[in-house]
Formats: sequence, structure tokens, C-alpha cells
Amino acid sequence: MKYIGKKVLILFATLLVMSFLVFLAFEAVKGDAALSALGDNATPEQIEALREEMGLNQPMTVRYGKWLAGAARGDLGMSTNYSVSVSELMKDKIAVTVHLAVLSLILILFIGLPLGIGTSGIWSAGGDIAVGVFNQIGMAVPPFFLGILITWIFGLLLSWFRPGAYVDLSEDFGRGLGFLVFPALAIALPRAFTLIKFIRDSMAGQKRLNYVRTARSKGNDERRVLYVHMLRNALIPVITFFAMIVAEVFAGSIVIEQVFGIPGIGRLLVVSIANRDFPVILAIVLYIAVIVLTVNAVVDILYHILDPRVMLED
Amino acid sequence: MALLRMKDLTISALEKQKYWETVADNISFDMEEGEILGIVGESGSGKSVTVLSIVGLNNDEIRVDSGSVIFDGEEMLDNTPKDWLNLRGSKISMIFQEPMTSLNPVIKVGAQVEEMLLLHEPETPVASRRARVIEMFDKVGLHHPEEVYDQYPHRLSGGMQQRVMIAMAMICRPKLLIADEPTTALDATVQEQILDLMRRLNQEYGVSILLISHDLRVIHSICSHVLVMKDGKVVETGPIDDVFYHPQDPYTQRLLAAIPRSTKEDFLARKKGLDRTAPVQLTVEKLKKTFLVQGNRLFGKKERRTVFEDVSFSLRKGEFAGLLGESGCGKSTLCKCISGLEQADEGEIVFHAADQDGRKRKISMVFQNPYNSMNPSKRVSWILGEPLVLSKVPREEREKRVREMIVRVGLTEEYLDDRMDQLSGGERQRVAIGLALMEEPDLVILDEPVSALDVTIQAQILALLKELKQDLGLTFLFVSHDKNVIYEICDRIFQMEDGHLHEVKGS
Amino acid sequence: MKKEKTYRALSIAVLALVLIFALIGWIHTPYDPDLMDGSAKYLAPCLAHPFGTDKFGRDIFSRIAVGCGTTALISVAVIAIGAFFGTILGAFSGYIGGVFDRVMMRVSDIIASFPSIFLALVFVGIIGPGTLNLILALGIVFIPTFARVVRSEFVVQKELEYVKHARLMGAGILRIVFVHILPNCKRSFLSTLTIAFNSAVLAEAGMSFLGLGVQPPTASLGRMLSEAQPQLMRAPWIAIFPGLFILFTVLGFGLLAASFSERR
Repeated sequence: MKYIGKKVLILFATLLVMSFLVFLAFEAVKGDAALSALGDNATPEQIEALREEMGLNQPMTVRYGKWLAGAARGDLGMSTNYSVSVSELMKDKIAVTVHLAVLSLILILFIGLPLGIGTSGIWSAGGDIAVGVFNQIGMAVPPFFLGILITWIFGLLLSWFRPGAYVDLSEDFGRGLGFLVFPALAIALPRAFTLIKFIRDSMAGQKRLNYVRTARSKGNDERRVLYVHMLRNALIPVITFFAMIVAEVFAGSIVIEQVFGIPGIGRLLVVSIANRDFPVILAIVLYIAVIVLTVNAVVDILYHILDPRVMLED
Repeated sequence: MALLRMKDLTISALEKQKYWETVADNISFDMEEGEILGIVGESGSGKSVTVLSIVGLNNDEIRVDSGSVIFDGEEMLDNTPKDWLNLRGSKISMIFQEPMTSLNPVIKVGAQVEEMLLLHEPETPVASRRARVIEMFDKVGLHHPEEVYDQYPHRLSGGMQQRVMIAMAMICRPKLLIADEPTTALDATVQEQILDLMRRLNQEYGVSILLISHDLRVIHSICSHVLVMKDGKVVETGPIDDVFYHPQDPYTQRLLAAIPRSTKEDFLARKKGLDRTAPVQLTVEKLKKTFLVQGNRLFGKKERRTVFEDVSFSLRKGEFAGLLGESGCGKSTLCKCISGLEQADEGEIVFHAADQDGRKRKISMVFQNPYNSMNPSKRVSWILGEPLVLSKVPREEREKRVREMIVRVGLTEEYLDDRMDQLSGGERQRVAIGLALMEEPDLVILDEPVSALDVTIQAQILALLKELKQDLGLTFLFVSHDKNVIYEICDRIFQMEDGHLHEVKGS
Repeated sequence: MKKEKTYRALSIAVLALVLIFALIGWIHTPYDPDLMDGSAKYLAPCLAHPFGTDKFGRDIFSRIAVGCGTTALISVAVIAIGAFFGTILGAFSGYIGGVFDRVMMRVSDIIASFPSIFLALVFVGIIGPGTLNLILALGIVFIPTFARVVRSEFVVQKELEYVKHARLMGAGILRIVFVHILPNCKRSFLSTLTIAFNSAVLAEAGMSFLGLGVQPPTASLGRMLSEAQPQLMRAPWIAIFPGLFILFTVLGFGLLAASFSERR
């Protein structure tokens, strides 16, 4: 349990350092906010007054402290582009992106796990290569291209959904899901193939180990060797892999929201980058960082619990 | 009728994914019930593939070409996959060289043994299976069997792991136990305990044991008959004492001659005739070394553990000293401290000649594992030339000295263009010795230089070292866990025990 | 063995196709890729325009050829930055160890837990969109990728006895790192190279697709895809061909990486 405490501490420290660095970077490039707010015609006195008012004359660390204190209360500052508060802007959009991400994760697991475990018994040279090449193709499809293909085939040709007509889950769950499943599929399919490859590689790596020979020498049939002895060993690393998949899903949703016209934070991030709306970028970047790093920490802890070789006390 | 009869068995292995090469050629032998039969041979002799074919456990790159294996009246080579499943574990079971990796790391050892009952005696009531396993654990000499049952393999020592493997192999009372180098990875004392256990099980249960080893001494200690294999052929077979004391085949004779048999008396006799007038080359004074061990608390204090302390000795120029100790006793750390690869915590190391002249101390080392002690991607000439490149010896002089050295260590100039990974273990070790001698060092430290080699190769390397010791007059420190090897070659012997060093002297 | 060969053969075939297009793009394209032709809008693939034309009547074949060239150049530049700095950092971090190594690895672990396209977005968010900025951003993103691999090789290799030999002989740290150890990291370096190419291509295409990478009028595969989306119903080929070429490039490097990991 000490281990978990240590992990949580490290997580918070990392987030603090990261937020400070990103804050610093943005402060460094965004130039003088007072100057850009008032335009070139303002007198030096006016600018100075506004700088004072905006707190720009304080040292960086103080400004960071204020931002952090605000962030802790849920106040992330004002969007320079929309003149609304950042938290107001992000509120609804976070739910949208989380729905998309969770649905994608479910699809990845439901497609990837059974297929990965099912095909890991295929060891004949030809079958192995065929599955391998098929996997590579699946992994190589860029999610945005897959999104466009899905839009074309299921949206335009088959009319299973209306492209661009996003329906929120809270409005109409059935119709909302009927729409969301297509972008989720665009995010999930390439990653599901990655998961399949990972499971197969992990199983193939076990195949050469001595304990497998022992299992055979005990009189286990191939199915038991595979599913009783090797599978658990092979699946432990898959847990760590899951952290990577969560991160990829969020990154994928940034692009896919663009393709399907979904009003999530990914789309907001892209628009904000194009408009150089720094408070919004900062908030979204840190939001995603919190999710990714938290999932990483949780996965680390899970790994330690599930692998008896790693002792929790260290 | 024999329990196991192998007749004219010929096996091929797929080499480099291209062609099949015979690795076992017309192997025939009989094994009676209750017998302990040994198969001895060096690496590449084909002993493992031969034995694995009895249980059909060879991989796809091994195929049986012809012959027959009859076990308990049945032809094994005609077995269907289902026949194998009924046979393995219940009638024939196996233990392997590395118990740590042979056990499934994520299953408790008790459950792993219990699986045998599930597979072969499903009629055993689930409730009494645990008791059966614990009883078996007790039989193989595991203390606190109840606790051991719930442990994962990595929590047990190597000896205990091997006992678990034996318990697993024996719980269904097989007729034949195949033991593939079961003691090779273990320390000498544990090795003897495991062999004792196997002998006892043989007497108690009447199980026949087929023991494979590279070490004739291991075979001699428990087997009644022996088969000597070389390059896929059986070169000699017979009752163990006949083969061990009156070998007929030249290879067996060489194998036996290669075993270092020197005793303490031989060593003491040699020590007496030693010249003790040479100047002192190295003095080690009250050396102490500790290691930081991570405490098991969050932000807890790190603890210091002493590896060795109060280590003092001195060597004269031209002496060939031995350092004897079991694995983990700190002898390698001592070598690293002397060579300067690690810093000692307390004490002093003085190289008299070098320190008086004020020049850099030259210490060279030869390490145990010839496969990673030399840069695998470089050519022999590059490796031997490197110390001279570093001390800026001109190219022509360098090439000349490299050519001289390769001949000096018993190889030919043709080897100079080979990459290290093209050489065999013995050849690599020769290059390693050559490299160590390249700069006329103040001290050559040989850290287990022959332990990873086959016995006959080991004998050749020891012969080379004896020759160099006579010719060069350099100071050597030879480290080994094998007292026979040390007695064979060293003029003085230091023994390391529990972190303390003492010299072995006549009583 | 057979698997390795099959993967390698397939990957070479696919990459050769992309490379031929890139060469066409660099040397000579059948049409001016930016030439708008009002009389040739929305032409379906035909003999004169094998991949059809877009809404301005530009030849897709020529634009793809130029796009392949752009992608190739950007990826090479990105990987060069990442591999150069990553290798040096990883090598010294692994060899020296200690606090420097721990900090370095903690930082790269954190960076590596984010997908490259997300990091590229963050950097571009800071320094602004554009081709050069994209190269710089992705280049920095790939430094930890290489640093981690090279470092883990060095952590293993420095404990091997040949390195101790080198130290005993008195070889200096630069010589040990670059002459003794680095050549032995060739294999893992090569496989990282292919994996990095794989994700660099994907990240570049993704960024350009979002309009934050290669800027118009330069043709890029990712941008062509996003421009094609509104006309999907009318002219799906405008989207399909650039998409396929991104897929080919990624697939080629993916197969190459797979063939390396089969070798042992």
C-alpha cells in the first residue's frame, strides 16, 4: 500500500511540474497580453494600467500560483477568442469526448482481446504470416482516413447515419449511440489490431520459455499449455499496454472529432491552436495530461498487484 | 525385459533454416527397471536431443530419421499426441537444468505440483490433493511444506526450486525420471544434496533415472551405468566403474584426463619448492567493501551490507595466486576493487613497481563468460590492437605485436580477421587471455576464466595458462569456485568465506 | 525466417511504390500539381488522369507524387533530429547513470506516455503552425523515443565485460561510448528507426489533415484528405487515393519493423 501512496505522490508531483512547464512555455510565447488587447494605438500609460490590472507585472511564479489556485477552484481563466470562461467553454465538450473515448475503448477490448487470444494459437508458418500481414494493414490505416471511408460507405452510400449531424447521448441515447459508434469505430479499429499484435507477440515470446516445456512434460495438452500456463503470463504485459491505448484513444479523438464534426474538446483544441487561444490550449493539454498520467499510474499499480514477481513493498 | 530400449536412433536438426544435419547417429542402449543410467557428453554431443526424443519434446527443428524407442513394451515413435499426454508426467517425467525458469512464474508452486494430480489422477478428491502435495514436499526435503505450497517460484532458492521440480516429477510415481543437467546451475553443496535426494528416491520408489550431465564426477556419484557421447555418437558404454577407471575409448580417456584431480597435497608439495625472494608486487591492506541495500520502506533509510572486510594479503612478482570461494562470497567484488573498476570503502591497495615509478598501474582481467567479455562486433585484430592504440604504439609495431600474441595464445594468424562472434568459447577465451597480456601488466586477474567451458577445453586453457606462467614471469590472480582447478594450477591459495580472506597453508 | 523474409519483401515492395512516387514528385510530374483547370473538374480516374482530378481540376496523381515527396522529406528531417539528439542523450544517460539518468528517464517516460500527434499538437500550439515548426515539433517528440531505446541498450552493454576491459585499458568515455558500445546497438537502433518512421508519417499526415502542419499551396497527403472530405459523395477518389498512399507508407515501415523484430 506504501507503493500506491508513493505512486500517487509521484503523479501529483509530475502534474505540478508539467503544468508549470507548459504554463511557462505559453507565457513565453504569447507576448504581452495587455498590448494585444489594447492595440497599437494605446498610450504607454494605458498599457501600464492594464498590465497592472491583469497582474502581468507580477513575477512568473506568482502568476503561476494564481493560475493554479484558480484551476483548483475550477477557474481556468478566460478564453481570448470567445470571451467566455474556459471552464464554461469546456464543460459540455468534455462529456462528449469522454463518451467517444469510452465507447472506443470498449470496442477495442471487445474486438482486440478475443481476436488476439483466439489467433495466438495459430502457429503454422503460413497462418502466422497471413494473420501478421493482415494485422499490419489494420494498424497502418490512419484513423482519419478510416473515418472518411466510414463516412463515405456507412454515412453516404448506405445512409446508416447522417454525417455531421451529431446527436448528444443525453438528448437521445439510442440515436446518439447510433451516431457515436461510427467515429468510435474509426478510432478503435487500428488500435484493436495493435492490441491483437501485442497479445500475439507476447504469447509468441512465452513460447520459447522453459516453463512451457515443463508444462508439456507434465502431460498438458496444447490447449492447457496455451490457456492455463501461457495466457496469464502473456496478459500481464497487456495491462501496461492498455495505458498506451487510452492515450492513443484520446489523441485519436482529437482528429476524429474533426472528421465527424463532433463538438468535443479535440475540436476545440484544434480551433484554439489555429486561433492561438492560449488559456484554452493550456487547459485542454493539462486535462488530457491528467487523464493519461492517471491511467498510467493506475495501470502501474495494477501491474504490481497482478504480477507476483514484482513485490508491492519495494 | 528392459524398461527402455533405444535402437539405432538417428536424429537430425535443421541448421540455419536450410539443411538437416545428423545430431544423433545410431544411438542404441538398454535401461533396466530401477537403474540409474548416466549420459555424459560435452555441448553439442547430442545427449539432450536424444533424451528429449524419448518423451517427444523436441521442437520442430529436430526430427527423428530412423530407429526405435521402446518404453515399457510400447514403441514411442508411433505415439499419437494423445498417447504422449497420457505418458508424460504419469509414466515418464522430467526435471531440467534451470529450475527458476522451468517453473511457471505466475502460479504458486503448490498449485503447479497439484496440476499433476488434476491431469493424471483426476479421481483424487480435490480436498485431499493439497495434502498429497504437502506430503510430497516433505518427502523431497522441503522444510515447512505448508508455507512452501503458497509461495511463488521466485521466492524460493535454486535448491528449493529444484526440489519442487522433483516433487512435481515424482508425485504421480513415474517409472522413469529424466534429469537434464539437474545440478549444473546449483552451488556445490546444494548439488550434492539434490544428487542425494535423487539416489534416495531411486531406492524408495524404484524409479529409474536417466541422468544427463557434462560432468563425469556427477555421473560417477550416482549412476550404475554410463553412456559417453561425442558428436552425436556413443563412443563408449558400460558399468560406471569400468568406464571411470579403465576407459577404453580415446575420447573418454581425454575427458577423464581433463578433470582436474589435484588435491591439497599436490598443491602443498608445489608450494614448498617455490622461490620466495622476488620483490613484492602488490599489497592489499585491510580492504573493506559495503553495498547500499534499498530498505523496504517508503523513503526508508538505505542499509549498508558488508561484502567483505579486513582483507589483507600481498603478492610477489611472478606468483600465480588462487582465490577460492563459493558464488556470492564477494570474490568478484574483490577483483573489481583491486583492478579499480570499483572503489573499496576502506583500506589500501599498493602496486609497488608502478606506484614507485609514478606511472599508471596496468591491470588486466579475463572474465568468465567468453560470450560477452569480448566486443561481439569487432575483429580479433582490432580487439588485440586496442590497448596499443590507446597507448599510441605506431601501426607497424602494433601489427607485429598482435601477430605475435595470437600465436602466443595458441591460435594462428588466420584468426585475426574473424569477428568475435564467429569464434568458439575456447577460442574467445584465448583471445581474452591474449588481450590481457598485450601490455605486460603488473597484474593479470583471471575471474573464473574456465568455468563456462567444456571440460576438455578447460584443460587446454589451463595448460596454456601453465605455460604462460612459466614463460612470462607475470603476476596472476586466478579466481574460481572449483577447488580442484585451483589446486591444479596455483602456487598460493586464498580462500574467501563469509566476507573474510585467509590463506590456505599446510597444517 | 520465412516470416522475416515475407515481411521484408512486402515492405520493400510497398515502400518502393511510395518512393517511386516521391521521386516523380521531386523530378517531374505529368501535370503541374497546382495548375487549376476549370474544364477538368471532378474527373473520375481515366487514362489522362489515373487518379482523377479534384474540384479545381488539379491532377491528383501529380499532387500525390508531390505529397509523397513532402512526406518523405519531412519524415527524414524529423527522424534525423530525433535520432541524432536521442542517441547522444540516451547513450550518455545510460552509460553515466546516476541522478542525470534518473531525471532523463523520468522525463522521457512521461513524454513517451503521450501519443506523438498529441505532443506535436502541444508544440505547435506553443510555436504556431507551419511546415518548419511541424518538423521541429515532431523532431523533439522523437528524441525520447530514441533516447529510451539507446539508453536501455547502454544500460545492458555497459555491464558486459568487454566494456570493463575497455575501461581497464584506459579508454576514454567518448571512445567507449562511440567506438566500443554504439556499434553494438545497431539492431535495436534500426528497428526503432522504422517504428519512428511509421509514427512520424502518421503524425505528419494527421497534423496536416488538421490544417496545423504543411500549409497550402504545398501539396501534402494529409491536407488533400481533409480538402476532399466535403466532396466525398461527388468524387470519393479525391479522398481515397491520398488516404491509400498514407496507408502504404505506414504499412511499409510497419512491415519493415516487424521483419526486424523477427530476426534473432
